[in-house]
Amino acid sequence: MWRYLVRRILQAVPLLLGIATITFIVVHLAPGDPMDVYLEERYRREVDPQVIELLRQKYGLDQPLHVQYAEWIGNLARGDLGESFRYRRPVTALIAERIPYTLQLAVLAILVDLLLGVSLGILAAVKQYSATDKTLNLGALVVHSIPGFWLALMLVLLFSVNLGWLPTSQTRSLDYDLLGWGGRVLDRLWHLVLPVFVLGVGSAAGTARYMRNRLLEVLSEEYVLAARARGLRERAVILRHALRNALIPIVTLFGMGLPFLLGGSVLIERVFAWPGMGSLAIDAIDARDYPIILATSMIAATLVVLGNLLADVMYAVIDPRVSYDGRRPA
Amino acid sequence: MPRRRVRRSRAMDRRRFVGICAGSLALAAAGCRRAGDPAYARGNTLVMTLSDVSWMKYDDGALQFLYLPRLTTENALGDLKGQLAQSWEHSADYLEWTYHLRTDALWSDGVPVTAHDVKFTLDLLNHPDVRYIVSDAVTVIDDHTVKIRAGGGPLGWLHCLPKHVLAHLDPKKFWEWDYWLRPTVSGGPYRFLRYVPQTMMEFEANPTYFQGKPKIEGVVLNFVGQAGLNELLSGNADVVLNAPSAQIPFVAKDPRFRVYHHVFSSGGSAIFWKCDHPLFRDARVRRALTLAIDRRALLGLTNQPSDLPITDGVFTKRQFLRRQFPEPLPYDPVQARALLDEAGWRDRDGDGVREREGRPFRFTAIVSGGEQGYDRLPVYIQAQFRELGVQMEVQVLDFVWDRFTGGDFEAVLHHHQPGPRALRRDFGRNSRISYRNPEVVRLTDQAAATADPDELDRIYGALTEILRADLPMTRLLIRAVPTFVHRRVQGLRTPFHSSPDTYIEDLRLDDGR
Repeated sequence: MWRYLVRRILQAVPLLLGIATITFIVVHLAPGDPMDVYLEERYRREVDPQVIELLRQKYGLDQPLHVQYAEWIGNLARGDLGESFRYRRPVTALIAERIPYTLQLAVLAILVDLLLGVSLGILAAVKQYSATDKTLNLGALVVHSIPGFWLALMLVLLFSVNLGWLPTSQTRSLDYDLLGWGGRVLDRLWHLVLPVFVLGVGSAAGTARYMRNRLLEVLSEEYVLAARARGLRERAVILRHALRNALIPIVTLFGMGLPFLLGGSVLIERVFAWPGMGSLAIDAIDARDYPIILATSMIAATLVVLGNLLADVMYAVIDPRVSYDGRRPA
Repeated sequence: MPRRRVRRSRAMDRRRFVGICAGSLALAAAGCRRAGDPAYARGNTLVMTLSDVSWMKYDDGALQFLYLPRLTTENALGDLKGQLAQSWEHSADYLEWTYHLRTDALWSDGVPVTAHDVKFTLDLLNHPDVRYIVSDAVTVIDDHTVKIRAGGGPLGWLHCLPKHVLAHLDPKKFWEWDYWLRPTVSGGPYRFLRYVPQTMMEFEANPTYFQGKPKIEGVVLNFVGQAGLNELLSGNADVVLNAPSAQIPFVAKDPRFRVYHHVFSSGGSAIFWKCDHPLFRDARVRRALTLAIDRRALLGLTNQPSDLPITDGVFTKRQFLRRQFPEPLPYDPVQARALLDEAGWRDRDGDGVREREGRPFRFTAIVSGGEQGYDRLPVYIQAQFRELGVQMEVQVLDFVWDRFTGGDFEAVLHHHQPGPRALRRDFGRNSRISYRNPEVVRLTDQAAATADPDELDRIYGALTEILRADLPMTRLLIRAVPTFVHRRVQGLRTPFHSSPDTYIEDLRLDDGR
């Protein structure tokens, strides 16, 4: 397994290098000069062209593209992601500030997805063709079809604007630092309710449908029939025998779904003013802030590679028939 | 059998009951609104929403005025008005200014604000690692007198920084200084209370402020990204700064709020014609196209107030504030048709598009697609040109600047910037719209070389005469930025006194009684 892991990681290096190169070229070929955006944003006061020229020199934008690329890739290899044109701060510092917020959202959304999606999928499969099954199927289809940002806006309108039960945006209340320890935890959770719900439920709808179908497949297997024939209770048959096997593709699905969950949070972060990586990336694209665009793209690419690797590893861990050691599984 | 029917009927009743309860709950939730207006519960504290915390760094459009003393400001006529500087004199060329500072201005820790703070600020902004301005020479005459040689004239925008607090910090880390988020020593109308990361900053009225304690006791800056409108509607905010104009109709119909439009500069949206293009070489054609646009209708289309001025030509902000600008060319489609006929552009084959020497009057206008609320502008103009027999294709681009600067366009709908440097770029020697007029070149060079406001007004007046006749650019709308404000905020007026951040010292909050 370890040899397999090392081999996969080594294979990922040229892949990431290729992604880095393509991203760099695409970003720089896109129309729009960061200093022009800088000028546009400062329409209240005419900026001295000398300032622009000096900033261009400072950020190396006056250099030919291949020189800029060589410098960027060299810095990247040293873990230096450069300095943001817009914020004029190191990109690593900006990402370090933002990534915990995105992770909070993503991890909780994955939990909601897993718990809700799997349990509803099981319920629908166990009650196949019943009213519950049909309602759950229809509900999952509807929720899966609704765009996340639209659902988010509707929920904000209902629960925040009209009812005032939940906050409209942000990660904490204005009086957060005046609260006690418990109050702070509750306040953070209160702010997480809507974004996590939107992000988690949207994915859970898909997971539930997948889980239902997978469990139904497993329930028709002969070993399940054998378990039933042994007189085991239906609950034991489902939870102990069928579910474990049905979960295998679900667990691997999560590995591959991880980067997409982060990607999905881009719009949700925007709606809820969640100061995560997604909103940082969107603002950077608007401002042609190359260092941030490149850094967030590289993080997304790394997550895709790691997600796939994780899925493959999980597959081997969960399913004893799969082995990467070249040995025949028992 | 009968027993089974009873069970099913009970199940149906239970299901119906749950359904009715859920439906009622959903309807009640959707229909009901919170009792009372939470905005009034905040008392004498104003909550303003901002997109993000980066607004707090030392930069244009930022909010340092809250806690830093400003050298001077402008009055309603665009003249300098004293703030930290009580009086001033300038050299004959207006490039060297001597400011006499107030002697009663104090930082919140009791240290006097002096000319050394002004020099420290300008030197810092001029530092190679900061690069905010270039080459302003500052000389301290005495503790309360400072001489500044500034290429751009008076430095009215300058907010002074406390030297005794910041002098030991590394200028390389200027943009990362914690001071921007926790300005523990302040000298403006408000002083810092607390900062909640990525969430808010809170300030309280400064009792030792040299202009007197502001009427509003507390100011909270709430960083909410694009969710300003939601915060306002849910009663969590009083002011949404720089709101998208597309949201104006939604807010304007709600009696709890008012919409103000602030004009920052005399620039605005305009169509720039590529003057060496065969279609636009003739000034009569450019005039005809200008006459064919109902520019007053554009105000309604973009949700701007109907009394916002429409004009032609170029003018300084001072001229704009004094309303010293000409009336616009009228909306006159009949004259527009006559001018095009006169220029030889006629619809000879009856296909609805005019031609000359076999060439149809067809062109593409590039438009920036990023600005919410302005997307209907080119479509409306396109329809008006169609009635004139001119076919304008609209190409919406994510970013127009490259093609505009490179001269790669036929017509471009973009912001007109009124500063002398922008005028040179647009109409001067190397005009990016290929406009050639030696007199305009001379005038734009003169405008870029002088800092004398009277001379600038004279130059802009002369430029307006020429540009109004030649029309290399058709002005559409003045740039007005909407601000959504809860009605309890009193003291604002459109368009010259409508930015709550700039005029916060003149504002007060109604208690709702």
